[in-house]
Amino acid sequence: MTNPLIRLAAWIGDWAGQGEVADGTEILFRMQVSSAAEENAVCFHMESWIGEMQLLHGLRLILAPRPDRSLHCMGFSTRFGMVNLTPTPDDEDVLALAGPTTSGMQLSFSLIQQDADTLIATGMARPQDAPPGFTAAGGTHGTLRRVTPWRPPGP
Amino acid sequence: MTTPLLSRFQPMLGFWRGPNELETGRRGLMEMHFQSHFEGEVVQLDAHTWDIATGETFSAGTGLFALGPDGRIIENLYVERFGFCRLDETEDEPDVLALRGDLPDGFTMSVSLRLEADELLLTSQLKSGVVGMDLPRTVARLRRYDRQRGEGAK
Repeated sequence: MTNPLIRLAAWIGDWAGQGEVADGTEILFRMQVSSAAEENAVCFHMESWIGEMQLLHGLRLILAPRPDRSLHCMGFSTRFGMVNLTPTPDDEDVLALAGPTTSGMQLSFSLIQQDADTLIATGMARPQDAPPGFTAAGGTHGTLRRVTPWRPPGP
Repeated sequence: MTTPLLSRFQPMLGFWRGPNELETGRRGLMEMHFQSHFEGEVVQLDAHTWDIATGETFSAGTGLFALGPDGRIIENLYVERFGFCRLDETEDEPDVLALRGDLPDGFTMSVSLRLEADELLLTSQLKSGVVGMDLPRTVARLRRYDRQRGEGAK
C-alpha cells in the first residue's frame, strides 16, 4: 500500500455500530473498508439504516494519492450524488473529508479512531451557498466497532 | 430491482477478461469487474491491465458510474497512473457508452464501451490537444470470465 495510505491500512475490515441523526432518530451503521486499485487506493463503503432496515444514507468513497502524493477522495452518495472530497488537516488518528456534491451540497465526513477497534463517525451536509453560521440539519454521528462477518462454513 | 442506471449496466455486471494492445504497442491482458451497489444506484468498475511479456501491472484503477442531474452518466475515476478525473457521457450510437473528461496533466481521456453478443469492446485514448501528440487508441476485447470456475462463463 502506498505511503499516504499506510495509516489507514489498520482500518481495513468490517465495522458496525449505532448512532443517531441530529433530531435524535436512532440509526444503525455498517462500514466496510477495503483496498482497491491494486492497493493504490482505499475504498470505504458506508451505510446508515433507520427503523425497519430502511437505508438512510449510503456512501461509497475511493481515497487515493494524486500524482503529487496528496490524498484525494471521490465517491457516490445515495442522497447527494457524486462527491469529490479533500482531506482537511487534522490529527494523525482522524480522517476528515469535505467537498462538493453534484447536487449542490457541501459534504463533510470524518472518522476518528478511539482505539484499534473503535471509530467515531460523523457526517453533515449543507448547501454550498449557505451563509456563514448556517446550521446544517440531519447530521449524523455514531460509534463503529470492528466486527467479523458471519461466513458460511466451508465444505 | 432495476434502476435507470442498471438498465444500461446490467448486461455488463461481473468479471471480464481479455487481450488488449497497450499504448506502448506491447500486448496486455485486461481484467474488469463491474459491480452494482445501493440497489443499482451506483456501479463500480475495477480494472487492471498487465503487460503480458513482463507480468507487471501496466495500469490499475477504479471508477464509479452514476446518473448526473441531467440523466446522463457520470464516471468518477481513479487510475494510479494519472490520478483522479471525471468523465461525462457524450453522444454516440445507442448501443455505445461513450465518456470523455479532462485529466489533471492536460490530456483528455475518451472511453467507449460496447457490448456485442458475449464480447465487451473497450476503447480508450489520451489526447493532448496538440496535433501529432495524441497517444494511440487502445482496444480491449473482453470475454465474460467466471472467477469461481477459473474459466470463461458459458
